[in-house]
Amino acid sequence: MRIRFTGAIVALAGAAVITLAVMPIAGQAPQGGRAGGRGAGAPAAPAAPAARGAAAAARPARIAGHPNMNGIWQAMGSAYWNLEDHSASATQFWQLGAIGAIPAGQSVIVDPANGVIPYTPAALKKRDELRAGWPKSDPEAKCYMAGIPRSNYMPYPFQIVQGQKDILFVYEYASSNRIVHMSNHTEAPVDSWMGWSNGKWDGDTLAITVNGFNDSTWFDRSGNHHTEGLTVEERYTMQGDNTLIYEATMTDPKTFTRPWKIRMPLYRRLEPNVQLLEFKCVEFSEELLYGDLKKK
Amino acid sequence: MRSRLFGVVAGAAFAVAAAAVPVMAHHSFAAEFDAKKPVKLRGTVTKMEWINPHSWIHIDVKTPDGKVEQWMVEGGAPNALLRRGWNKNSLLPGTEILVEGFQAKDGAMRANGRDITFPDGKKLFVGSSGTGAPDERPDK
Amino acid sequence: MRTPLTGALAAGLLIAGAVCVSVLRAQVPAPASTTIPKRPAPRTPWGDPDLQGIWSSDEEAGVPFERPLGQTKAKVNGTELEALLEEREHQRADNAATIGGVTGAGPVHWYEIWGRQSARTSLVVDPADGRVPRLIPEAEQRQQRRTRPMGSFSAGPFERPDDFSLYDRCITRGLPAMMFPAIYNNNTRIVQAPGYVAVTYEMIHETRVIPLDGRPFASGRIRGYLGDARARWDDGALVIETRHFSDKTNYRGAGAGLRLVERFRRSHRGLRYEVTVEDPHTFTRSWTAALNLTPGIALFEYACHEGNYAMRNMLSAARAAEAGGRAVK
Repeated sequence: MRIRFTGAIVALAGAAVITLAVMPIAGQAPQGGRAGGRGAGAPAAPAAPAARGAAAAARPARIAGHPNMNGIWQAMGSAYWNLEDHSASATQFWQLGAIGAIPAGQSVIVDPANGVIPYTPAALKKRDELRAGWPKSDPEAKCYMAGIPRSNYMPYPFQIVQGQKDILFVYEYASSNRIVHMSNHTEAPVDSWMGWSNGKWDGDTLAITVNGFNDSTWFDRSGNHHTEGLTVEERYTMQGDNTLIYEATMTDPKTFTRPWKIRMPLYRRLEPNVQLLEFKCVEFSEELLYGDLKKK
Repeated sequence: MRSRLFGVVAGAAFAVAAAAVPVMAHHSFAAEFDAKKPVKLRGTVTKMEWINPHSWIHIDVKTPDGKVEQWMVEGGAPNALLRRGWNKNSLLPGTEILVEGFQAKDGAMRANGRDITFPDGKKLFVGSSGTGAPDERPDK
Repeated sequence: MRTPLTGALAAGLLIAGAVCVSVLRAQVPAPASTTIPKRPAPRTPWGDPDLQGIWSSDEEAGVPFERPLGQTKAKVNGTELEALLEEREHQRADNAATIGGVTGAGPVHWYEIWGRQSARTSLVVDPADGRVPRLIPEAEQRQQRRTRPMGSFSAGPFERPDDFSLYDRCITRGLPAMMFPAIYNNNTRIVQAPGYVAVTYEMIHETRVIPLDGRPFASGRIRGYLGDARARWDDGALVIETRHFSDKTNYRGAGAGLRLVERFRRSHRGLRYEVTVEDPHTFTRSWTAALNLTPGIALFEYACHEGNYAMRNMLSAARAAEAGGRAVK
């Protein structure tokens, strides 16, 4: 019985017609008493049946009373190379020609107003050393998780999975992800690559405090760094249906003379059947990491 | 009967491993450590790396002739400890520990920590309620 | 080597086991009975069955994947169960210090397998004998033709990184293997959104975000270690179909042709998980394994590759062995 059923399902999937057995019921009353529950002014929108291949039409405007930030998002520009103002320049990989060069970019740092990261003198020196050791010094070259905020503006898409409870950010780069605790906030028990995220709603802005970082992630490919004392305050605000305005404020007294803030749009990936694909980059980094120990 | 069952389980486990379905540890320690080189180390913690796939405890070991050797000891996976309430402050630098294990095959000052205790014999990261593990009594 | 099971130790094990079970029970809603009206299954605000949470397979740690030969029952009870649980705990104690090889996987009380009390005799539930069906002859020959070492549990030699397994290298444990309990980190997290379900596997931190909107699979020209998945609801159960696995896949002999149908549904103690494994190029028939999941305590980051000292250590050991046992570096 089970095998026949499985065979039938495979056939239906192949024909791209899969009947959804359970549809959101129009007019279903909102469930009370849930965490993040609705106030009087925001009843649950009756969900329309999901149209096949037209997910946009089925997207409710709000979930549990808050803006619906679900979707696949990606940054543009070249902040992933360098958060600060930069002209186009070469890397040492002349074999790649223009493909191996770095594009120009305007600073995404909005505070301080000069768009420059406010390093202490010692930390600036360390930045220059890390930059000189690039790419081997760059955790991205090693396929290490990129931490926050860098994961959000890597040149790979990411997905926000938002229900009525904790919110999940899933990044295509290196199969990384992080959970945002939306209730029962606790402290990070140990340091981690992606940090420990405690979030809340500030009106229609998703505000997340991230700390509990280790000291091993960078902010970009240019050696911009921090210690495990880093705290990042993030804010995500919808601007229209297809843009998220992303802000992140970095505080790390052992590295910076004052907090500093970046801001950039994150754009919705609009292709009808867009999905995260796999970028499991460990195997691309193994020659770099272990090549010296291979049998000669 | 008991040893036959053990053989079946062990055989099945290895067959399963050969089919690349890992149910055991993350990797084989025989590829890293030498069962013919047991070590007993007494040292002071300088740092504990609470990382995966295995934690690493760095210790300074005083040799009889007064030199200090820097060893790193491979522990278990930390997430289970975090679920029991341990955290990065649970093993601070300066703490003295005893390690029984096996040395790295390449001769480096690295060891696999099979038993890690305090000088009084109490095992590291054993809480008051215990886990049911067979080795939780300090006197083994 | 094995410690005789003294009365005190037996009592301690049973008490520890009872503590584990009672702690977990405290987090589980009261089971439905014939006299109490059945509670409606929880739903998300947008109307989908709500399966969200952290789910642990710890309770099934120690249940063999395949039923041992000579055991005819799928579940045991009474004195037979007591004897089985005692036997399993003995085996775990015997094996614990040597998991991962003679030198062990760290102090054994760091594991999460102690005191588990599942009455099942195998995780495979179909076929009825609880064992994985035979491979087809072509698949047997494929296995025998492998010449390169298959991971750190093999004899080596280890000449280059890909002589190690995908797990050694911290690439993936693969599907469905990453659902099944190991000695620790047996946790999965489900997060739902309108039109999506996301499943995170603690070891080794991968997350699948699976569409529920009926869209077709992506092209079979795009392959992945975790394949491509599509989900739907079937009377309260979440059904996930996965295909388009990479040709580096090796699940019990199955490769790129592997197809899975997984089901998650609420049970009185948590979730019931079942996976039907199909690959006509490998198995003589499809087969199904199941897990009973209970609420988990927490799921933490498992950054594997980032801390994988073992890869350098194992390659270094292999080079040292070639150089006559002296450290090369």
